[in-house]
Amino acid sequence: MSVTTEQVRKTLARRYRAEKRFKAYGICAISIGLLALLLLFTDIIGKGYRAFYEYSVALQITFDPESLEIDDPRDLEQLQYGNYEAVVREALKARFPGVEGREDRRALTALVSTAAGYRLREMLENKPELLGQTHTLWLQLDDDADMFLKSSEAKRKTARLSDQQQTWVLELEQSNEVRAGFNHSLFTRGDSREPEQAGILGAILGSFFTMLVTLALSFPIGVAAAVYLEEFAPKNRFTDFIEVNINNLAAVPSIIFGLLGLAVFIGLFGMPRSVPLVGGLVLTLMTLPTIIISSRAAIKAVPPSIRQAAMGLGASKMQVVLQFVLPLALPGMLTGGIIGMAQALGETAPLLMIGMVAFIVELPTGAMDAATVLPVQVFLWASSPEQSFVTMTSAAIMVLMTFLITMNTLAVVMRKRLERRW
Amino acid sequence: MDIAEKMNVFQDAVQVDRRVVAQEHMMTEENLYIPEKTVGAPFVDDPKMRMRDVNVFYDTDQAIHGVSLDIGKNEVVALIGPSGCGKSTFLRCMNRMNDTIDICRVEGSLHLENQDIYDPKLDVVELRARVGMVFQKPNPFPKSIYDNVAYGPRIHGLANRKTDLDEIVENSLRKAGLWDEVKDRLDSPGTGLSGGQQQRLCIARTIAVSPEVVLMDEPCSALDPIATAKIEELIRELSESYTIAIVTHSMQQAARVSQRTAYFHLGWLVEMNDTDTVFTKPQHELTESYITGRFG
Repeated sequence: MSVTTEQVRKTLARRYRAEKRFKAYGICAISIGLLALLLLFTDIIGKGYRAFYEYSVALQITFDPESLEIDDPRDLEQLQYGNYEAVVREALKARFPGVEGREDRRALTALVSTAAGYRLREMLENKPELLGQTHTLWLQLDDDADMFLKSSEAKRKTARLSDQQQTWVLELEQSNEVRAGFNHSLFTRGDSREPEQAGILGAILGSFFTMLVTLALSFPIGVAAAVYLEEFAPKNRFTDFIEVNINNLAAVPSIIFGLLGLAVFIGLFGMPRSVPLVGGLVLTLMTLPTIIISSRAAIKAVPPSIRQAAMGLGASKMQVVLQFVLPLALPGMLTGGIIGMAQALGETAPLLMIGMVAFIVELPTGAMDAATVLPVQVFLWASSPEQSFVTMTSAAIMVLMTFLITMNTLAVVMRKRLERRW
Repeated sequence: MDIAEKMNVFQDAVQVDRRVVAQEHMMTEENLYIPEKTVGAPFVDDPKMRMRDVNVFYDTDQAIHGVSLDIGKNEVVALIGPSGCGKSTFLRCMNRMNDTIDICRVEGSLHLENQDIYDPKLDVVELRARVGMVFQKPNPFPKSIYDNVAYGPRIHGLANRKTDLDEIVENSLRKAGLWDEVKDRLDSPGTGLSGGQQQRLCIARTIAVSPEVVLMDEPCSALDPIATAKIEELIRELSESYTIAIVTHSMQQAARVSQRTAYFHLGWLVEMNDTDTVFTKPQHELTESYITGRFG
């Protein structure tokens, strides 16, 4: 055996050890990351899943014209001012005949959501013949009673229900007069002060219109800017200056963009506050640097041999860009665009500045209607005191995360689909 | 000493100086120098392309020093020389591919027949339709074989009807010797072919626009010997209808395919002559050193 082999052998063991150590560091890093992710998800899902179902109570509701103060259910004005609460109160009184006194009665009525009244009105409006009839209806419970039923035995002691109310609810639970069902209002309503009536549809629509504006503006502008800078712009001090500034813009805190939007779009141009249009404009400014930078990288990655081949055949600059560079760079551009969109979808701070943090019950129907967006809705609910809003917050986070993960998956799938090999 | 004599002495001194500079780059210890004037016969009667005193600069570095040569009609001219001698740069001047390099500057006169190639009024698109180019690495477009060949005729509007285009595609592929191999899969991607087939596809693509001159920049350097042999055969056939300038690292290839050979050294054109003469009776020591394999 030569001296060299001997030497090599000696170092070999050391090299393998170093390699193993290096691998172990990597595994450690990834485990920490995964653990953090796992904790986050268990916490959010553990809290949030309860918001997806709700408890309702079976009550014998009599559509009594006298209590309702309605004699003609086709008269919209009468319908509007009908005393639906009284009917619910009557039904509860019939179910718990022993309850006397104003305080106790009020506590009893508080078990059923005020949304029950709207539900009765809707039924009556759709089916006027119900007036005078009696039906067993499943009515939404109030959020406190709902939370009490959702809580485990240990936690029920700390519930916000009084002892009296707790016995009533338990009685209903034992006699199977309450049941859990899918929480429809979560996905069909806007915000509300009452947790059991609050939904995220308003925020989803707000996010949708905001994203629509952002996408329609930032992608074309970003791609056009990237193509110009990469393909047509002369290389001089001025373009260097632009490049440095684009990179700087990518690092500007997002709230600054919010202030800019407030000053320019709302202050200078007099656009309305709280609308997705302004939100979209602000997020466009925020995502532009991301899209420009990733699009330029995608254009740079187009092999020069393809450009040369096309130019050698006599293709003009324009033809080279449109027929070769853009199609080949498109997957990269789309990935950048979708990641920029995902970033915009999760953005909160700049939207607070332009008033998209307002309490808005109505569902927005367009980019000019006042609205809020998902992350801001999370922010709003997280700062609400009601126990139910804690689970609602987590549920909203879950929905937001679902959208984000879908978008990122879409980016990966699109890149794989559109990527061409050679 | 009269003024004229003084001038001569001065010029000699300058030339000696230039040779000394050249010698510093020399790879052999022998006293080789770059000739003041290209030796051999760089010019022909009635040339297809006429280049005179071409200087090329990359920023401040001069890559080509006063090269003058002619490329005759329907002849294959090989440009040989060691790496970095400027042969590719020179080739790329002939269809203005160097335009895309910002720092590149070309001086001198280059003519394609009577057309000044660097005339600012000349549209480079038109020039490149007349002077096609095949590159070192096969670079088919990420499109189908058919579209690869049809691309040039399409953008130049050479075929108005589908049948015309089909004919051009078939003819080009036939001339490139690729038709029989791909006629059943014209719709499959050009990038799926083997390296040699890809290069022949690139040649078919180039001749589909019926250029007058085809420039080839080391077309076989990325190919195996069998594919190389096919391309060389093809070049010989093509020379019947096209004028070809080929840059090559392989002297055997130059000897096999070309009628005339130009030897470049450090940006100077040292010698140009009939290929046989260059390889059997080189007139300059540098040429001889190179073809006998003493450097390069």
